[in-house]
Amino acid sequence: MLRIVGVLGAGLVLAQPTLRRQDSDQSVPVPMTPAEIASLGDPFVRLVLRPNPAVTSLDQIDQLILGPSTANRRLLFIVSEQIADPAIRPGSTRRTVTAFSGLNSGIRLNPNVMLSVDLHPSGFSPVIESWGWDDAARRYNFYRLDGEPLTWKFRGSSLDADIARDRSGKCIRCHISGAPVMKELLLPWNNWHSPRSIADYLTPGAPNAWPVANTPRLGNLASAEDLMNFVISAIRRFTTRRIEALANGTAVSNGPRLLAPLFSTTEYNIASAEQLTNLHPIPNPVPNQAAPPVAIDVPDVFFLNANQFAGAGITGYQGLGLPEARKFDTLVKITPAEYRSLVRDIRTGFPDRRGDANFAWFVPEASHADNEMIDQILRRGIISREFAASVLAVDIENPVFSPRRARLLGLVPQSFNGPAALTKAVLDRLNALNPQPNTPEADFRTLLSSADPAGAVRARITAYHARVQAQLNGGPAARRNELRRLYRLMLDRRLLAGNDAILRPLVESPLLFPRRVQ
Amino acid sequence: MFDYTDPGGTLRPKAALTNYRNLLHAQYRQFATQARSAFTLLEAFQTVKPAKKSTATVDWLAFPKTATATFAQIDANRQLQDEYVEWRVERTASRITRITFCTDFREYYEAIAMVSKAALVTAIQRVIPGANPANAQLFGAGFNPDTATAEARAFRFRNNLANNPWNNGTRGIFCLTVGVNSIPALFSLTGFAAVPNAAVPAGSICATLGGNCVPGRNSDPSIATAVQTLAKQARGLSLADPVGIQAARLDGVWQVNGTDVDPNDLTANQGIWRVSRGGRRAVLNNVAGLTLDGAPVTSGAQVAAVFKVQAAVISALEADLPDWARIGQETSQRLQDAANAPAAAAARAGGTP
Repeated sequence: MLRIVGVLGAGLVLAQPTLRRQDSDQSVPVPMTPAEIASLGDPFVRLVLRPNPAVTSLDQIDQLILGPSTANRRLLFIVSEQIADPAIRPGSTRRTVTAFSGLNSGIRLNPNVMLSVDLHPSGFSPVIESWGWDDAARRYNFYRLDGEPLTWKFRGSSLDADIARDRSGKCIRCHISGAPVMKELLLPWNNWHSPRSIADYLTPGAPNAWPVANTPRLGNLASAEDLMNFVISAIRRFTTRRIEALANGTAVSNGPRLLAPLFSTTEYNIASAEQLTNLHPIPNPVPNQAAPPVAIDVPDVFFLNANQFAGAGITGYQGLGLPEARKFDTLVKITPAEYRSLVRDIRTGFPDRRGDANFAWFVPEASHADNEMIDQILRRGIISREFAASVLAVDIENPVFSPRRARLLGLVPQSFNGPAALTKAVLDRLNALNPQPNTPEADFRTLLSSADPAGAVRARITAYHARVQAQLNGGPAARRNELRRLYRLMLDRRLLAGNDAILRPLVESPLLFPRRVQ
Repeated sequence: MFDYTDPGGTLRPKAALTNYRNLLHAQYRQFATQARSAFTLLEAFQTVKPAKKSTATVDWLAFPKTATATFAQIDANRQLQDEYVEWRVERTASRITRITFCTDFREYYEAIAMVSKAALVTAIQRVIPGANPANAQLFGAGFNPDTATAEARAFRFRNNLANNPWNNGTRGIFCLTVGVNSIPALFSLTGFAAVPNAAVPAGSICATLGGNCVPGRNSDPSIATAVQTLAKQARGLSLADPVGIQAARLDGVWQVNGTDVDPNDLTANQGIWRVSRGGRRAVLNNVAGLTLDGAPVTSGAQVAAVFKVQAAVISALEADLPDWARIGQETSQRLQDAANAPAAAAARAGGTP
């Protein structure tokens, strides 16, 4: 929108279109002052909106971000719960994410600026969402191009997103902690174009290619694996800045806020087996005799927070020195016939069709956002390994959405300095509570006051593993019952993700999670 | 025979290049004759117009996904580095000074070893200036390379690689040593994955290939799925020349003393990342103040977690390929003729598609 700023002679003087601020979908956009715009320091505003506030062309925006360096790159990623459907249908859309790498005018692009745009079979939506990382302000800034005529709005930032009460109509409705969200962060990326699941109809030159596939933008089609690296980096840096805001060395000014990711599920990622189910009802209904082509390996993170207990892996967590947690990775191998029976007998599907996800055992897991926070506060010596292990061992079999573990956060003092002080303060509170047996508080106290908390947790992990193994090896009936118990637990966890008051918006489509159907 | 390119530029004297080409050709030929496989000889693409053929890259992370070990353990054990990328970490006291990543196949150096020990030493010195490997370091104790046959030299060289200090990380690294990081493994994976299999989705093909594809790795399933997808699109395919694994890029946030650096801009990255040998060797110089995602560089595995490598696959619609290169023609005499033909003549063998 053009603003009239004055009258000169007989003509109107028109100012450049200006960035506007819109706090939520429901609020009216208002022009931002130059001082307000100057206070935004992310790459998107610096490279795009300040010099060219009226720009609406995706290609021009790309060029403004990339700048003149031929070493800079643009990468396009595609995600959709219907990614497996090559057909062009009414209303067919896919979500694209565009990331950039390199430096422009000394400004790092990777992973500091991204665009998100809907893709249609023959082109792109004019509506563009963007975020940029403002390192000085320690926050992500969100922008959106929409309206008639199209105008850019500043849609708020990640500042205090983790404690926000009102998320309605705001970007932080989905960016729960404020950081970028990639629910299927690690391989095999159920709903993303990736080497494990190629959306060939979006690859240039494919026989069944959508018209848009042969446009230059799709020439930069990249694997979800590349985005994974961008997002891991982005969350790592975001976490560092959050800690710096809440702690000075080991002196913590807001314990419950800093330690929330250790106790509760502030975000989740979605894990799965690496095997395809062959039971995915998109695009076509599943034939009666269909079954997975190979046996299914249930991922260890379904059983417990193996990434945090054991450490290592692609994210490089230091971990808690409990490699026994990784043994769950080979604990449950489900035959194709068994898996088929589980999906059919427990009547799994989507609202309008029976079947399963593309990859098997698609289930919410502890997020990189939460685990990265735990890892960094461990490395910084803010909490001890024993303290972290004791917390995570409470309700160990529910690595996400555990109200029993979450309520223990209330024991964390507002401020403390160092792991010894934290442990003492929490133990003092637990002792004062004198909790009833079989409560999470009693369990936590037992572990934390143990002479060897890590050893106690190790014993718990080992016993847990042995118990499941015994059931699986206990004869056909015992095995069947145990597999059904685990499968139902997995389905319940999907439901919990969809029912969580804050995390519910992350289930963006009824086609994300197969559930029990009638 | 196709004029296979020397990927590292160090196959000297000419006999080494000939050895290498023969070795490669045997692999191409073996899998071009694999029943029902869309894999074919590179010669088949010489007659296809540029607009009718394409080269796709398949990339993956160098980090060994199958290793349930700490970064330090992965650094210390080359056998864990099974993604067609291996590395050497150099330290001064406790600080890392340099990490060298390598994707050169051992078969490359075997081709040189077949010529002579002197040729082998020269080739190693081109990669590791100042290297002066002794006979026992190259071939093991009690072996005289000057009197041995070419095949014996290659055999002893290969079998001693884990003990060779110029390659096992003690004093250097110049080629891959892990059993599955080999040219035959790459060809087996590609050749068998190129058999169209209507019974399983492309993404499941790896699990059907037996020992030729390890589902838990980053590389194998990525290559197999890409190849199977092409085969199902009725495209003939082959490993592009020069065959091998190349450095693609470093992801992550890299800074020197708090200032952003793009390691992939090789002309302006302050020397922190150097790529050579056609992308088969990459060196990270851990200069003072260098950080990755805000943390100092403390292991090679940490860098491998953001290091992407790639392999290239050339393909064209079967209908655009010469008859002899299509599925079902694996036993044809014309394919044999093409495989046996001198390089210049091979281009003519298929006629005009």
